[in-house]
Amino acid sequence: MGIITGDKGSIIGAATILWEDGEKRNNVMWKVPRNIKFNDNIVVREDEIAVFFRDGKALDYIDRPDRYALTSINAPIVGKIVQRLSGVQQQAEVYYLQKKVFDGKFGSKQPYVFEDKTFQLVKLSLFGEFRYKVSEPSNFINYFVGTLSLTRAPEVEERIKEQVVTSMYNVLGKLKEKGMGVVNLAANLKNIEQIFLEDSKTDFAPYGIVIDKISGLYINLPEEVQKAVDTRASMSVLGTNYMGYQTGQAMREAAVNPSGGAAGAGVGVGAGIGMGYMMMNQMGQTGGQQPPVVATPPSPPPAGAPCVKCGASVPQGAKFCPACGAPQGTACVKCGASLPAGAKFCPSCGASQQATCAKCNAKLEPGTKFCPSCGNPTG
Amino acid sequence: MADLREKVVEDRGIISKIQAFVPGFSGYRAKEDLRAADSMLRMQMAGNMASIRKDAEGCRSVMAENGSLEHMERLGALIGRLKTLEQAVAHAAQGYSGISAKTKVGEAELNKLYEYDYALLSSLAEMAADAQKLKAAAASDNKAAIMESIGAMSGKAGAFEATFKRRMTAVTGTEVS
Ligand SMILES: [Zn+2]
Ligand SMILES: [Zn+2]
Ligand SMILES: [Zn+2]
Repeated sequence: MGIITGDKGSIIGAATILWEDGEKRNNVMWKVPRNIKFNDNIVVREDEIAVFFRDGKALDYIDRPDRYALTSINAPIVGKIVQRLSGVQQQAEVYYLQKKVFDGKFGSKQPYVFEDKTFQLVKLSLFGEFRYKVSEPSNFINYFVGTLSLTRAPEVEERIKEQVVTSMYNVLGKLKEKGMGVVNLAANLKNIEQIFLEDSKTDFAPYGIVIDKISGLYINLPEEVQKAVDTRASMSVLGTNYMGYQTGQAMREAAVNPSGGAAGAGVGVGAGIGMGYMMMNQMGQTGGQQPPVVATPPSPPPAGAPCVKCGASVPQGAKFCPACGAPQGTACVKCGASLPAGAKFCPSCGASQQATCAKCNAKLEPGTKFCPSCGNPTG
Repeated sequence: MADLREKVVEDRGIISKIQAFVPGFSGYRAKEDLRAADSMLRMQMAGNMASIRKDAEGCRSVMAENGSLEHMERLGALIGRLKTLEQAVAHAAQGYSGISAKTKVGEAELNKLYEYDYALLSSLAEMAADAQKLKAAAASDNKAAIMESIGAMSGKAGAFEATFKRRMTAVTGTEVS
């Protein structure tokens, strides 16, 4: 290893200890593989902090560059450490920390269940980048080494990343409390980063770390939800409202499939055709043109199934309510058949759709692997 | 610039004005003093900048609590900008001391320096006042006022940066004028 020179076997010690560049690389922490003794020499360089640890606690640390002989001669500088090592039996572990900032990537391993007003339980996953550095060496060592017994840098970094994800979830939870919906997350990524920076100060203080930058935050939504969000976003750009868009979509589908059967698009989009007819009429009048001839005058729009949430008529087959955006029909968890809105059992295979948690009895979203309320695996 | 201002500098009025911001500042004189005085001023400025930044961070914290998101990103950008400026002001020492040994600093250069310093310190004082307004606006979640204060502070941070750059080129003698 070559980190320690001098007489390793010496009882009184007299070794020189330093952190070699080869060991350093991108590691925030390094544990000296031998305990420190009275009379050892500790080399601390510009970008390093040496922390002395014993009995589950950091004794003291040195963060100014120099070579320190642990003798009573320079007690004013290494006082606390020497005091605790004054005797041949007394030993301490030494950890080196780097002062520089470290870049890390974080990502959720388990999806976060976001309780949305419109989409109900939405599973989110997120990832991004962050930059951190050690702010309180004693806290850092006390927490990671003393409390968690982590002695290797990769373990420590893994733990930091996990905490970043947890803190990010807390930010999302807080925003949800403030009434933010899943549709607003994408537009607020930069704000979420800012709130994270603010909240992380207290989250990470016990770890002796500051997060001074967070970037590239990305929140991944389930495909269905993402589609709805995109639709809304593009509508707001065009200045059209969501309902108008849905109507337009229905008209287009009707045009593509004009002679569908009763269960087909023709009936399903009846509302859309009716409205479209009116719109075309208006356009025709204002434009001074002949209203287009419509072969069959629209019959009163057949009512679709009522929205599970607001009761508005939802065209058959539509996945979201055109009035309030609430998701409608879902697929069976077992056989994948299309289910009527709000169905508790699949009409085709009979599988129960509304599972509850065996542990806490909370309602479970179909297909979920963990209870959103207590975290118990559902399988 | 041969006008009123020169007189002000002549009677050392501007030094007493700077002293109002930096107690104990006695002006640049000999080369040794020059370096010490420069460092003293910059440390003071960096300190002021830091406290303005901390105010802004406090506001971000309040806004985060309130769920007030409208201008949060803008405030984040301002905080980042203040941080960068703070570092630039505090760490300009190397560039300065390296060149100053060879640079002749005459009366005219000194006067220019005083003007820059005064301008910088004044704009920091104004920014500090804006930061107080921002705090009040954040506390009452007054979005229009938050926006206005952030805008005012960003503008002043930009002006400060430009003036500081010119000051440094004047100090290091690389200003073309
Ligand atoms: Zn609805
Ligand atoms: Zn089924
Ligand atoms: Zn449960």
